[in-house]
Amino acid sequence: MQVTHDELVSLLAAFADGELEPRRRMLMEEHVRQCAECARRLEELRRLSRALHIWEVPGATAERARALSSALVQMLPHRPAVSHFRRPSWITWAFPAGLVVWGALVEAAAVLTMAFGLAVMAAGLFAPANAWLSWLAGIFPSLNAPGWLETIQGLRDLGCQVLGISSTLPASLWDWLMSFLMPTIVFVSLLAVVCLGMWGWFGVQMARRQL
Amino acid sequence: MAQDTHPDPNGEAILLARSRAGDKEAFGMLAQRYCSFAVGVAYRMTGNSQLAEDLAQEAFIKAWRKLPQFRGDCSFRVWLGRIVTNTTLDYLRRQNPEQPLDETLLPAGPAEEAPLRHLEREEMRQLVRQAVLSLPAQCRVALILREYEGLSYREIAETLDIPMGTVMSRLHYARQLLRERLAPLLELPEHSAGGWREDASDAR
Repeated sequence: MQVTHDELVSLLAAFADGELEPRRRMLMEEHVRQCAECARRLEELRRLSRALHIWEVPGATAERARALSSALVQMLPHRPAVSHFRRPSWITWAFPAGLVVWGALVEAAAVLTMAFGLAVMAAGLFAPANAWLSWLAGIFPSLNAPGWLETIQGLRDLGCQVLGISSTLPASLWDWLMSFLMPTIVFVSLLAVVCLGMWGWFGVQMARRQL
Repeated sequence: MAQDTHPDPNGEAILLARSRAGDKEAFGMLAQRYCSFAVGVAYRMTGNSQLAEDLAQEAFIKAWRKLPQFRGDCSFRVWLGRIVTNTTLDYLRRQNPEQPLDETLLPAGPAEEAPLRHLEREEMRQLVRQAVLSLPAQCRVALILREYEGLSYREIAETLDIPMGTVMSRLHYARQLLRERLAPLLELPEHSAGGWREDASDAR
């Protein structure tokens, strides 16, 4: 394999640091013997390395190391012994496992509540021509066109049938459902889903760090 | 500086196991083995030997606390090196970078134009010290681990938690700066009467 001078120059530092694998090291040894430029650069690197060692650590003696380590032993805080192969007893995992199961149940309940809230709100869009629908028609004037109302009412009846609720609920009740109760339920359950999800994620991370 | 290569890795494994079990004396013996490594890194990062000993002590205490988490994925030296470099870099970061840490942390100066043939050894030491301390901290730590502590590229990468390519580029940059700043010294003949190489080269 032919290696160019430039490629070898880029490997000079790794060569000087003894980091090249044998085949490349041989190539480099061969090249440095023939190339005055690379020999000069290599010598420069080695010279720099030797020059750096003029700067020594003052007072770095074996006695000093001994003194430092005995002072260290006095300063070490108490740490309980750890064992690699401690089998966890049931009490150590029963509590976190219970928490996880409980969290999962609450999470499922929150998801179901949120879905229910969203479904009721969707049905509410097709509720009788009440304040809610008028408000919607104000935003989208095309809803006032002939035929649209019948379509919406048809969809409303279908939605209410599926959900098993009466489409003939009074308009004020629909308003209350749409403007306050359902949004609150959806918001609270969404919050619960997010919090419980984060709790679960951190729990898994903690468990992974402990194991 | 002598490298921390121990002929009895088994002895180290026993010391580690005893330290993990809470034996302070065993950890003290480990610390004694790695004292020159920890103090050396901290000293070359800060330029102050008393501060270096304090930082090394702090790092050893952290290591003692974290020892139960040491899984043996890397060598103890790499693991300890990580704690020592983080402790030192944290310390340097806390200092105001605008102001030198103390009189021992020297700013980068232009290479001296004085007649260097008459440089005394102490002056040469100061020149090297000043040049190393003026390097950017991230380059300096890589250079110290390589040149003074003899770590391999892979060990440096593991210690600093950076890719091998970054290790090589930081070393390259550090050496480039040092070549410029130490040019007057490097041009001196090593063995002649005015030269600098007396005993330092045997230290590696």
